Amino acid sequence: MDVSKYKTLYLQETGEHISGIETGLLALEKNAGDSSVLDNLFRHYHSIKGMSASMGYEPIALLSHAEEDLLDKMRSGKIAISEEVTSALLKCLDATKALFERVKADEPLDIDISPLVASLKSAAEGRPERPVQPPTAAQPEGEHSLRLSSVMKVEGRLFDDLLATVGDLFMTLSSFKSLTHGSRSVEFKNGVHQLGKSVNSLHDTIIFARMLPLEDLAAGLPRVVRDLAKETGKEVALTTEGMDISLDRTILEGLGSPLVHIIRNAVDHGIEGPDERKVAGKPLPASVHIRANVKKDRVVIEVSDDGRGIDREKLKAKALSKGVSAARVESMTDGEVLKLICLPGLSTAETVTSISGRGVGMDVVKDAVESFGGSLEIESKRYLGTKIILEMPRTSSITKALLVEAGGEQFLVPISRIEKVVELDSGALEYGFYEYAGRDIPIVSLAGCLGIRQEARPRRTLIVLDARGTLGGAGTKSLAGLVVDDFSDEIDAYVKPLLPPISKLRGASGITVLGDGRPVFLLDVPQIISKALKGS
Amino acid sequence: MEGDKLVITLGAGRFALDTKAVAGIIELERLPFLPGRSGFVTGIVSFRNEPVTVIDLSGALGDFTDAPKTGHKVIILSSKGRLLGIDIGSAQVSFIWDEELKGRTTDEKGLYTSGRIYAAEGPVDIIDWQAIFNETTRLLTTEDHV
Repeated sequence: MDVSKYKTLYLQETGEHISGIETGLLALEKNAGDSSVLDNLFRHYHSIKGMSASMGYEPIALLSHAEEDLLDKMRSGKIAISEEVTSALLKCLDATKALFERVKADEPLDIDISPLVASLKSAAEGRPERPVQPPTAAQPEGEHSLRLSSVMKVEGRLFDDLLATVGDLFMTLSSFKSLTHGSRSVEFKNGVHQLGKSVNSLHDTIIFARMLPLEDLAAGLPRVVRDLAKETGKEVALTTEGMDISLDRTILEGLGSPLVHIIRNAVDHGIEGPDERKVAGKPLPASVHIRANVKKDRVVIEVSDDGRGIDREKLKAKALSKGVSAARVESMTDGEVLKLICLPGLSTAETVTSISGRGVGMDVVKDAVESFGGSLEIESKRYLGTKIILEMPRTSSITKALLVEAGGEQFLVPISRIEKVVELDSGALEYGFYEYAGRDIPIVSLAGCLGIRQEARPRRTLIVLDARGTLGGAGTKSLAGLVVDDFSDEIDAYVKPLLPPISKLRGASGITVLGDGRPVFLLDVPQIISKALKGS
Repeated sequence: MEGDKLVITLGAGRFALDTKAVAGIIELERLPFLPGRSGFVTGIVSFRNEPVTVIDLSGALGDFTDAPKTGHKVIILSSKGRLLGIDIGSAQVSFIWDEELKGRTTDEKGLYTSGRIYAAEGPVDIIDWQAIFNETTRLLTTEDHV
């Protein structure tokens, strides 16, 4: 296993334990009878031993193990706590520190610790302590030096505040950029250019600091699956792929509950009991697979199971009983029928268990995913399994977007959705289709979708978009064209989430404020295309 | 009911807002577009880099007799993280200070009013902007997303 990615965490935590040991040993010298100090010391040594062994830092693990043994004897009163013993432990601590510095510097851990280990063992056996000279490399250099860790522990909230401040800086920068258009001052323009570079660099640094691998989230999932499987009497194996992909910590945090809920549904409802699977000729254990991959600036996370799939007829019946009209249900595409499970209060589970089946969940999952500008799609094959596909932005707040105009109003289209931008005669857009990549794709008018009056003009702009999630075929590219009057700049937009009273607006997934103070909405492409095509 | 009041004179009467909730007043020739706007919800503006949904006060109070607006004077209200812009068109504003309110207020409520001030120049209804905010949220909430 490649453990190098955990090194930063190891250094941070081990550094803290070493400080704790130093403080503890000094406290022990002053008050040998304080059992809480002994307990704490034992925990510090035990943690260092475990982490060092996992990371393959054998000498540190061995030394900590011998120290832990000695501490254990002291705790149980088998040997007396004396100044000699604490001195020996402090000498060993110097060796641990020296080894720790070598780990930090990626140097070989070639310090001979055997005399130290032998002295600890003899002390633990209650034999008279032989004074041991620590290895030269493990001796403090001249005077004791005070050093701070190169790794800092800060609250995640600090990064949230920093990012919000950078967002404000982006907006201010946007205002300055607007002013440069009307300014003749070269110095001013250079200053704004330099400011832009600095703000971008600051943003990149903060974004980098906020990124965490999916692995951090997925690490807790095997236990979730194990407990759910035990509770339901099923045999389930969880496998993952692409967990090294990093996401902004806020988005990663937001994915926690949805992922657990999806897995809970899969184990409780999707996957059959062992007997049923045997009869159906399905393998045991059943499989829940999480696969992540990067698509432009987004991450696609698929959670698939090989269970019984979703019963569409049951879903339709449930929707009817919840008041959805029969005509509406009958006109639904397969994708729309599957998405019925995201309606509040709708669950096809026949029994309510402690795990799921109360109809509270998939609607919350969908809301949670959409609140981060993500989307949720469902694929399911009866008796073969279900796949829930979450598409999320990898970073929050700054979105590359194209500024477009329709009926005199401005909007932003996420660059990640755009396939092509083409200017055409208005007449060519009257048929509702456009030939692209050898096939006809449907086209919709943005002004028409949003109810904005539009003046006649000879030419308009067609934006070919990936409208995945709206035209069926979940998970595969689904192209559609959006007609706008014109387009202008590609901008880095600091997109704010939509808060009440506009938190449930259709057609927009966020909002930004341009440099001249105009608020502009980031379009929710799948929603707009979906609504337009349903209406046509 | 206590505290200084900002008074707005409309065709339908006079209405008051707590000055404590007033974060600012901005004037625009044209309101930026808000997708899905309906009823008395008319647009969106930015105030200190924050988007603020704007409602037409006359419309909210059921008075559609005013001539078409030539400009938009928007009072920005802010409280506990909630922001709402109240468009009063070109209506005039004045103030009633706290000391003038003594013994002149009642709790006569309307759909979007929470009390009444019997001022020397006639009654002034106190606007319940939180109720307007809630109704604005309802008006802008789309149907299911399926």
